[in-house]
Amino acid sequence: MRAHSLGEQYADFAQQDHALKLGMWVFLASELLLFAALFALYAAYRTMYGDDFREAIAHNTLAYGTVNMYVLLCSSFTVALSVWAVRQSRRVLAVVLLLSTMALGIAFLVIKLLEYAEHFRERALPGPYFHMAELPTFGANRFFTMYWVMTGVHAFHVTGGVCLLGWLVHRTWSGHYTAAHHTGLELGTMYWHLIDIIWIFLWPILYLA
Amino acid sequence: MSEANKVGAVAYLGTFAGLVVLATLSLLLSFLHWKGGGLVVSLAIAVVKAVLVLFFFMHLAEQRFTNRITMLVGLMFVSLLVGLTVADVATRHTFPSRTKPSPGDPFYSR
Amino acid sequence: MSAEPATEVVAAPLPNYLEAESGVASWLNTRDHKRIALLFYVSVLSMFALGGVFALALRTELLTPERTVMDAMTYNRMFTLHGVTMVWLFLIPSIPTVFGNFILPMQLGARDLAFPKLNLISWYLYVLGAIVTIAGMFAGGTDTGWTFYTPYSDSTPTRVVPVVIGIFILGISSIFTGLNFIISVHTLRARGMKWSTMPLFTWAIYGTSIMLVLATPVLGMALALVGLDHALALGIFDPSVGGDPVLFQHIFWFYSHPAVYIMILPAMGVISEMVPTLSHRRPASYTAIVVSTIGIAVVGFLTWGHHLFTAGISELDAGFFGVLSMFVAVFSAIKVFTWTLTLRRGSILITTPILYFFSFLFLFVFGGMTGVALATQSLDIHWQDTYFIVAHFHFIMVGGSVTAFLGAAHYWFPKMFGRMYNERVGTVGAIAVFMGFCLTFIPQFLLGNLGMPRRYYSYPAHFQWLHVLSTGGAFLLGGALLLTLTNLLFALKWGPRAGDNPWASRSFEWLTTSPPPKHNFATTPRLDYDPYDYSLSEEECRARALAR
Repeated sequence: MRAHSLGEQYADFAQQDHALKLGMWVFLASELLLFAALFALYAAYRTMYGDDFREAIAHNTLAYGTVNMYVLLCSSFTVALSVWAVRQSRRVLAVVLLLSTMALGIAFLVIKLLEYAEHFRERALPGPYFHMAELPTFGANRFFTMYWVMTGVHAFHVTGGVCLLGWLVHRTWSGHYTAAHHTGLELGTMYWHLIDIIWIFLWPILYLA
Repeated sequence: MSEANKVGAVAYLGTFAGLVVLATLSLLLSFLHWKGGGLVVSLAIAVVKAVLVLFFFMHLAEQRFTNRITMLVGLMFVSLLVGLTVADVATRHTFPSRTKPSPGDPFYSR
Repeated sequence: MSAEPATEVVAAPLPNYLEAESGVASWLNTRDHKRIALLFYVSVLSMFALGGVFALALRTELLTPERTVMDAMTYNRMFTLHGVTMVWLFLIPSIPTVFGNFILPMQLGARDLAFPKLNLISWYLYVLGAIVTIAGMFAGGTDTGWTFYTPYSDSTPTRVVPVVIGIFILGISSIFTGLNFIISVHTLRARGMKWSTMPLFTWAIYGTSIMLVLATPVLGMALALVGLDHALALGIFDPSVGGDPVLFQHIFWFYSHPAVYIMILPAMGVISEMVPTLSHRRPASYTAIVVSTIGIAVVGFLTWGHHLFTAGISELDAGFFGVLSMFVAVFSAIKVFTWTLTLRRGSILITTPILYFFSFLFLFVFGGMTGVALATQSLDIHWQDTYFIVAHFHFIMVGGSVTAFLGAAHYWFPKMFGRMYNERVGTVGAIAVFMGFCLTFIPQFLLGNLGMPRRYYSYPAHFQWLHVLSTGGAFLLGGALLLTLTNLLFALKWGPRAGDNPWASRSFEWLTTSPPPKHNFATTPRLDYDPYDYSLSEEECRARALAR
């Protein structure tokens, strides 16, 4: 088991831990602002096109989106429990929980891909590629354009999150995290929770008419 | 030494149960197709879910005030961008936007 | 004062940070915030030179009403690249990554920043972003202007994608730098230091860092959307499929207006350090400067719509933004009055940095006042997209930020390198920079008011004399900057050795040796006193800080 190192600039581990955690919260705030631009565009187009926009939401693939909502909620649960497990020094359980989280994350992406394939079939695509005969309106076009961009950027982050989880699995398995020192694991799980929180807001605005 | 293990496994389970209940509630409410109010309620439920994740899964409940402020400030600035952009679009007194493309438009260009 | 046994002094002087390790690897793999500051110094100055070359090229083209040395498409690329280089490759990083990195930890009494490795990563990301952006320039560059407005940026045949990718990477570098500073200020303040006794430069960098962290991601998304639209034709802002191009402007300026405060706030922080030190007086009101710093950082986010006054936004929105744009100027005014009052009954040391302060005072106030005039929507309709705007923002960015950057370069030169520059050459340089600047940009106010549009390749013949004056000024400014750079480079090797505190400042970074040792302080100081208290002698301050 590797020793945990204290940076030159810190007086003790408590100070270093505080810095790392606050740093991660600040980073998450910046990630929030990254999605803010997309929420602003969505809100503007929804205001401009009102009913047509809402009608397009009703035509969206509710089942896929909803299943994905539950998938991510489960994944937040398992990843939070992995921190609890490490605090109990239960390394194997922690790894199992992290792997479950990864599996749920991958499930999310697979379901997303199947959903995108469905949209392709229906020609519910962004901008000039949009061809839904039953919704020949600008409002519908704007909805599906924003849908693709927002879920695409989110899925990109989920992919990154899955890779990060893989890294955490490796570190946990090799015994790097102890009950006393597991800040790195907590920081990684914080990122995963943010991905869940973004979907908590994307789901109602993109699927619930 | 990180903060004591105040949030036991039961608390995590309780939070998870709360999240599932709220998500289901939101889903059921959407079947009412409540114009106008539906969006407000579903966003309100989303806020509660987010708060549960932040405070219990992410341990914000046990951490200091400075950490909580980061999320509050972030949320404020998101609201600022969304709010003033929507305020522009909502209060323009230009001709009403076209809702459908005209026959000659390159709408179905690809 | 009786001689005391040297029990509290270190046994042997520590090697300074420049000598502590040698070899290229020790620089490219350093965690030392001071070395990283120098890495940034070299990088941003190179980019400043590059942006300057673009400026001289386009000013040369504008010597005659029609084609002078390049065609219209090339001209469009020139002003775009000038803007992109100067804003993202030079101004945004400049004072924070060079002087923020070097000075802030010492002002906190810390041994380094909170995340030294992340600091190095910031520099590598900066270099990567610069390479990608410049590669895009060499591949033909883009002609959209640094503002990338849709729908043109979605459809222009030029190389938008590599340039926006480069800027995106630069943005990540900025966010990491800002994050590092915020956490450092929150967690690494020395024993005894309260928020109310923190040096003013640190406050300014803190306010800047909050803006960096909150605004830059929005720029990242705005440019990512332009890149996606350009590469994949997604039509996010395309009116023919229901999109609204003005929405891009909202998202873009949500970042880019705070960006100008990101550029000026550190400059104000430099001024807040130089003026008390060089007049040997405490600031007229520490609280006024702190409140104004936070005021600018917050209210700066509430003003972006004034860039959209003529784009078709609603009158309600425009009214809100206009009022707030005037309001934010109040904080700048408070600072200007505070600095000026600080000089009163001070013993002012007339040296190059204080000359840059006087230059800053005149140019920033003049530029700021034209900003308040522009905040009036009815006036802006006449001036928007003319040279009046160009002159206004150059007065703030060059007359304000660059002037302060040059001031800092001289003020902290002895701290960073242990040597002194040549004062006479420094004075000539400062005066020449001021005069070159005025000759370049005052004619542009006149041009703009007369109706000359910005970003125009050709113009009516009766504007030529003003353009010729402006171009003459640009070359004079370029020469003055070269002279200043030469003076500093010469002093690096051949300047006389300066003492540890040649300005007799009480600010905390001067407690350590010049140049400082690798971890700044031989013993962690106790900084519970006011860094601007000139009633205390230097020895008293030192004894208080460094006693165990």
